[in-house]
Amino acid sequence: MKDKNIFDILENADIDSMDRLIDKCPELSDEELRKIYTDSERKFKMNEKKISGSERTKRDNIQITEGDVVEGVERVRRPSWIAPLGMAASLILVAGIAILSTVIISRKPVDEKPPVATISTETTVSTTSSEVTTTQPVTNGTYSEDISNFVGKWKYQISDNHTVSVDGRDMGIAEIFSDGTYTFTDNNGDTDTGIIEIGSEEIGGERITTLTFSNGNPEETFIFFVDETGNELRLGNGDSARLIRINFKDISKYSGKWEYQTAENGDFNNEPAVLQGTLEIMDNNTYTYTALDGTEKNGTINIRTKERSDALWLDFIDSTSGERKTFFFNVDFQNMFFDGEGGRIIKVHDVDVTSFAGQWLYQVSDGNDTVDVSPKNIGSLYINNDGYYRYTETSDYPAFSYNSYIGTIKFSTEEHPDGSSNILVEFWDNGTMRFSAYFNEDQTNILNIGNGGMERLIRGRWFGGCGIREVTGQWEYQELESGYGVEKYKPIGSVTINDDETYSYTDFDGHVTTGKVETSIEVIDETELETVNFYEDGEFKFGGYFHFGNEEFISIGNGGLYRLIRK
Amino acid sequence: MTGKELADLMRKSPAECHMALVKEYGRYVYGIIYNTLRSCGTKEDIEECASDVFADIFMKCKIDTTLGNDIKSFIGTVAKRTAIDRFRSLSSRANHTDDTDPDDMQELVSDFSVDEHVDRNELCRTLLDKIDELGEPDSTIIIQKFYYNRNSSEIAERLSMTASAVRVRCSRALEKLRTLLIESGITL
Repeated sequence: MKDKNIFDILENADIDSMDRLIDKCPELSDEELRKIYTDSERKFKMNEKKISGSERTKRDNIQITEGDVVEGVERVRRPSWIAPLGMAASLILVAGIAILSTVIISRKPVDEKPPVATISTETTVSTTSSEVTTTQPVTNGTYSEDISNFVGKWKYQISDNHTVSVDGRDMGIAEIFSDGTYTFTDNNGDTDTGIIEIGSEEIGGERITTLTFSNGNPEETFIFFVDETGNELRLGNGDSARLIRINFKDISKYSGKWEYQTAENGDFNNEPAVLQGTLEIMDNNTYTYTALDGTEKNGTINIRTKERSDALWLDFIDSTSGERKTFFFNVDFQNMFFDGEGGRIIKVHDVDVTSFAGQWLYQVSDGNDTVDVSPKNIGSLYINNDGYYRYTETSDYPAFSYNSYIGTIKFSTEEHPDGSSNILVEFWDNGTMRFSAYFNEDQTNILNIGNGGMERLIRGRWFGGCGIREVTGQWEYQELESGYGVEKYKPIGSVTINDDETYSYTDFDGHVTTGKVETSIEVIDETELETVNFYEDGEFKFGGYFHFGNEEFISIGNGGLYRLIRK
Repeated sequence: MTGKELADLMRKSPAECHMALVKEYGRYVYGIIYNTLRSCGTKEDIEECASDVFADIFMKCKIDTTLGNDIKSFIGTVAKRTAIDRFRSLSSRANHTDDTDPDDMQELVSDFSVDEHVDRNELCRTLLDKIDELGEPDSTIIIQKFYYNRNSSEIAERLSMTASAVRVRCSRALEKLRTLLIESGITL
């Protein structure tokens, strides 16, 4: 450690020294360059959208003078919750007092006395972090009007077409602090800070508690109504925007099976993880840890959070010895908890690998829009039923190298600060994770890579392969008899393809072969070819290409020796 | 890359131009950001900051491709300033990653016993000079190991050596460096 610290003097070096250090900077791997490129492109696209229009020139404050001197690169960024809030607020105005007088949400009346705000009037956000006890959700509708009831993180949602409870879209996270201030961070990472005033409005004979969020701009002051549970804050009565409390202390978020692993120096990115034992977390805040030698330990779990921190601490307290071991979670490492001593716990998944089997395309944005609008095929991926995969890059994107990976897929969980989580499908190759993709239960034929909408995996058949219905029917299996100008084929058997994805092949001797038939896509030099492959007992038997525009013909193999002709 | 090459590439294909920029200047930007965020940021923070830099540069290229021929200086300046912004942001986040014991921090700082009057930049240059005196590949190994915090396997892969060879060379080079620094009046 002492040896290392002398090198701290090199930090923030002058220009000459920095250039010397950069000369010795390790080359970035293709993977690292690719990540930087895709993230940059995503941010660039977002910035483009933001500054399009009249504000474009005004908001671009990278200024270059004649001598190419950079005048400044800081930019004032406005969090994106203002727009939907403004929209929602305008709904209130349109609706008018008559609607406001309607009871928004059924609730029990609270104290009839005028509310007393208990907040600080400071406008400066303190950066002091102190441990707080998150107030448990109030369920009886009779909470006191104190800011401490609302301290913690809240998920901000808006609705595009219906009501927020039907199609609420997550827009960011608001954190309310015990000093009566708040910070809102939108999905782009832009933040807004301000103060909160507690008040009340009498509507339909009921007094409803309100929280007024103000960032100092009168036009951006918004009133949220507290619902009867105290866990939801609604913006107006349009039901188009709300804040929902995120309860990080809900043990059910963590219940299930985990593995305790260690790495020699705690560097799990570069060192192999060594399994030390398994852990089961129960819904009643208890746990059982089983070491590899079968020794069991039981105890209770205490969950701690801190204000102004993305971290979360899990204390495992042994019921026999009272020994306490703490693991912490941080947004930088979203899918696991670390103990700070070279160990981590990581959730174990029981995901059915066969559900990912099949042919996939690796697509990236062609640079004009997000990948779902303007995709470019850069590789093909085949996943077997046993989780074994083969990935081949067929395009020169991102112009670094052609990649080809073979290995197995694994699963992990990415936990988010708002309590939600994603299953990540990881593609490993000889101990190195080449890339990973988000699994979405609602859209099982698309695996998004990153969250910028720039890359994805898409299942061939779903993407638009010929599909089983295109090839269902009776086909004659033919062999090339003569060529050289006049191609002549002779029949050597027949094939029946059924719409339940089965087939039977009968040769001229009457031998019958049956099995599964699969349609998918193969990418060669960015060209998609619709494939029809025939399997017998899970093994590839023969396969060929279907041709849109000539649906009566399937070429078998590449040599033109065999083909199927529709009867 | 010259300004003209950049402008030509932008006209041909903005996406290809962006890729080329990242490919050519990615390491340069990373190195600058690393120098600023080494003590307070994670690898992800550095990559995030690098993508901010390139997003800004892409935007600049879209609006104005007349960057002249000193693109590297321009990118370097953007990288430096963005890194400083990120440094401020990260530093202001209390307990962002872990609650390190302040006593431990004090201990780390007090490990240095260099003369407090020695100019920091001068010391920095001297240290780099002495590291250079080790010759290659030792100087690269030392910098990548202790400044860039790369492990022996990673260094080995990039220098086409075995990890054990890197460890042996590193250990010897460190001893040699210690001697060189002591001879220069710098006590570790």
